[in-house]
Amino acid sequence: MSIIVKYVQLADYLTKYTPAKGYLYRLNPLTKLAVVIANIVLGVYLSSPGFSFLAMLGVFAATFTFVAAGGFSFSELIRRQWSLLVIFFGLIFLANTLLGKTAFNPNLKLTVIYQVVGFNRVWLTLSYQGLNDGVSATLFYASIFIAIVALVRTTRISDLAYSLQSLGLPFSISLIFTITIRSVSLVSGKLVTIYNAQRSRGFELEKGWGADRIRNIATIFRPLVTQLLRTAYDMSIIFQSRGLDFSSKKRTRLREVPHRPVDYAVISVCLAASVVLIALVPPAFYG
Amino acid sequence: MSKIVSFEDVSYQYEGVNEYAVHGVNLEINKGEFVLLMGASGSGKSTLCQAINGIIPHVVPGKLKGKVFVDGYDTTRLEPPSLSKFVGMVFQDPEIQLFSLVVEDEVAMSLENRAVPREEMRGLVDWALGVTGMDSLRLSSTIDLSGGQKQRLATAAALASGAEIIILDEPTAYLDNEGTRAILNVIRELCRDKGKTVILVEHKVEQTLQFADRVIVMSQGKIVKDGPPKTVFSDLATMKSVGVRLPAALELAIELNVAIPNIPLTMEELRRLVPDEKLLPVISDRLPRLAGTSGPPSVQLENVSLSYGPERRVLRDVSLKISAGEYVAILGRNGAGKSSLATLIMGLNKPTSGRVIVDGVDTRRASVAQMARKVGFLMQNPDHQLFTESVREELAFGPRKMGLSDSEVDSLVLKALELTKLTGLEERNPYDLSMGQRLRLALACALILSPPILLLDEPTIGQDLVHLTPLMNQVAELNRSGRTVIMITHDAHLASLHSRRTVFLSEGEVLADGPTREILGNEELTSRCGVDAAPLPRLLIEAERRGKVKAATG
Repeated sequence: MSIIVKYVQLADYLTKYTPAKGYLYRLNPLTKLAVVIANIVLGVYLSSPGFSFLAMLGVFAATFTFVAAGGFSFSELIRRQWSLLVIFFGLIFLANTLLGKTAFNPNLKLTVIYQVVGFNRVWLTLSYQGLNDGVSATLFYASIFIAIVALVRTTRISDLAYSLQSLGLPFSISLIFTITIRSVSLVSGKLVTIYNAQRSRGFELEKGWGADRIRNIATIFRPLVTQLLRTAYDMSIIFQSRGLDFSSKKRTRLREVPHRPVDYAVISVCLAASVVLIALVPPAFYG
Repeated sequence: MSKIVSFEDVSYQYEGVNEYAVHGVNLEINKGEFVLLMGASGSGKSTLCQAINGIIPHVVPGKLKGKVFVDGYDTTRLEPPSLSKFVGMVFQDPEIQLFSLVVEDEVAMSLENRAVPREEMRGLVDWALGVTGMDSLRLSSTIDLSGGQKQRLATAAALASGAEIIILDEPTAYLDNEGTRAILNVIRELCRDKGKTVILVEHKVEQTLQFADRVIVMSQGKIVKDGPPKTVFSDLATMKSVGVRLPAALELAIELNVAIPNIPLTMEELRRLVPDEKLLPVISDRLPRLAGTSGPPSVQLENVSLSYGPERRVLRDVSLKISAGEYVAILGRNGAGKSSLATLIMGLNKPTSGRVIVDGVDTRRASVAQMARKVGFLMQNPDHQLFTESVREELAFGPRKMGLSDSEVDSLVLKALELTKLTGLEERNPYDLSMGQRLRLALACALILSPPILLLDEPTIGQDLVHLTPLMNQVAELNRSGRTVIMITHDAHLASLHSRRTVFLSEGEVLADGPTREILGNEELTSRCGVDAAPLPRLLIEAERRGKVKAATG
């Protein structure tokens, strides 16, 4: 249970907009979204077997530099959540090293480093190619993670929602998106309170297996779901009391979200890198 | 004055419920009035408010009879978005009524929805933030605001939409005294200086009564009293029967048989009517005296600090010794470290430095489950704990998981039911119980393992007298039977009536620790801690300064 609570708290931290100085905070949300998309495109391409992990390292380094130079501080994130990050990225590394694309390619000749004794199966083999896959994949997810965290924590969600509307996203969807992000801290707060309330009653929620474990989860999730349903109902009442609705066709905005020259420059770099890579470099696979 | 709200024989029945939530209500509210709406939970206050802003009948399904008019408009013909131009509403829970992540975005939200031109919108947002004192926080994150700031922001959002009527449904329930004062001052200024009509639903009678032009009291869906505060409260029989909390001065006046036409609502008024020689002994008798604290230590904090990371130090070098059988109140502003202190005693958090000894056990070396045998912890909201289909199951779950036999579990359940006066409700679903019963069930759950210490974290939040009195009486009974009680609260009056010792926390440090009547009566000290002085001890201290109290109290 405690690991679920910790991951919800991590989600709470990651989705919290925190105003600060730095160019990242002034960029148009669509520019930051373009960085995320470029990361996904480049990552999918460059993390495939055949590319050295150095290619992904380049993408990761570029993203990291872009975000860090833009005024986003990683120190708090690492200090508060390092154990969860290590578990998360550690699992990605292990899974891709031992069970990645390399492991399932029967035509591939592997350079074996270690093989689990008694199991002469490819997917239990640690190889240099597997290691390359593992490092590439870890850098791929880390790079996307950084880009998304930077997008959410340095952007007013209302600006992002408005930018998405300008691309044709319906208001109702963008509002649901905004409220979902806003609600993460609400869910996190309630989960922690309920978790502590039940532990205070003497319940050992980390103990037991099978049915016992399910009952433990029920002690948390039944009150949580009840509370969240009640909260959702209350929020819908409050929402309508405030005169907010989805039916209004015409809307105005308190402020513009401008596109500055730097926005055009960043979007151009992202676009060019993606196009050049896809158009000019052929996909490469082992074997 | 012209009327702005009127109810014509209004009744409303929620879908699937047999009883009327409000029944036969006739009411007129004039422009610029400050109306205080009172009554026990379930008396129909919120239904009445939601009938004004059109949520009833447009959003909440049910059957509406009669007519409600707002500024001359029939609310059945206007949807809530249109009515929001006339009526703004602020709700109890500051956490769930903000939808944006930036302060000024929240205020602009409904204006954007109505396509108000940008320049006009900017002017309205600036004005609303200025009026509510939120101007300097316009670019802050809404998540990082304090409870009081969130409520002021919700009020700003209501004002910006142009509302002439502001309805506030228990807006200060989660706030400390400073937050309460700040929001009440804003509301008073809106009414007095800006001519807004204010309808305030509140249980905090001491702080709000002074602002009200008119008090409306509801019970079982009907308006049972309506008039100026003094007139309404002079009908003591009705006010007592509907479970409304009476001002401390009035409670004393009843005890002293003060003539009804002279009914006092504040201590100052009472003192003009009753000589100190007669008044002070009664007050002195009402307040618990400090008992000896020489018993064995029940809870001991030795140079305890607690940090959530290098920047967030919530407790600093706190040393405290609470003896067995004491009744201690812990007060302080929101964020002073009160709840963190409770989590340390419960073992939910371990101290960053120092140690916490609870009934002889060092919390650093004990699991929370082990601590639950020492400390019964009653949290604010009983619904955070309830998860089974019956009261019996709810109580039996913990002991059963600890491996106790069926007969042992049954015996513990029976004892807890008796102790909390829930006998007879064993087979009821916890969610079908009233709020007061759910509170007592949560208390029973906390007491099922017979812990020697009872820890209460803000038990009074959002509770009316009907629910609060039985709970507090039971806690007092448990204390008399030898249990140590530690109560965290914002309610200085309640603390002064029950606890013998008070600890003030401020910015994570113990600022004062001593007899409740001395601490809570000291205005200079209480204001330093952001707490209002409790009215009864304050009067005693004032008299003491004038040298009267010793003669009066013998």
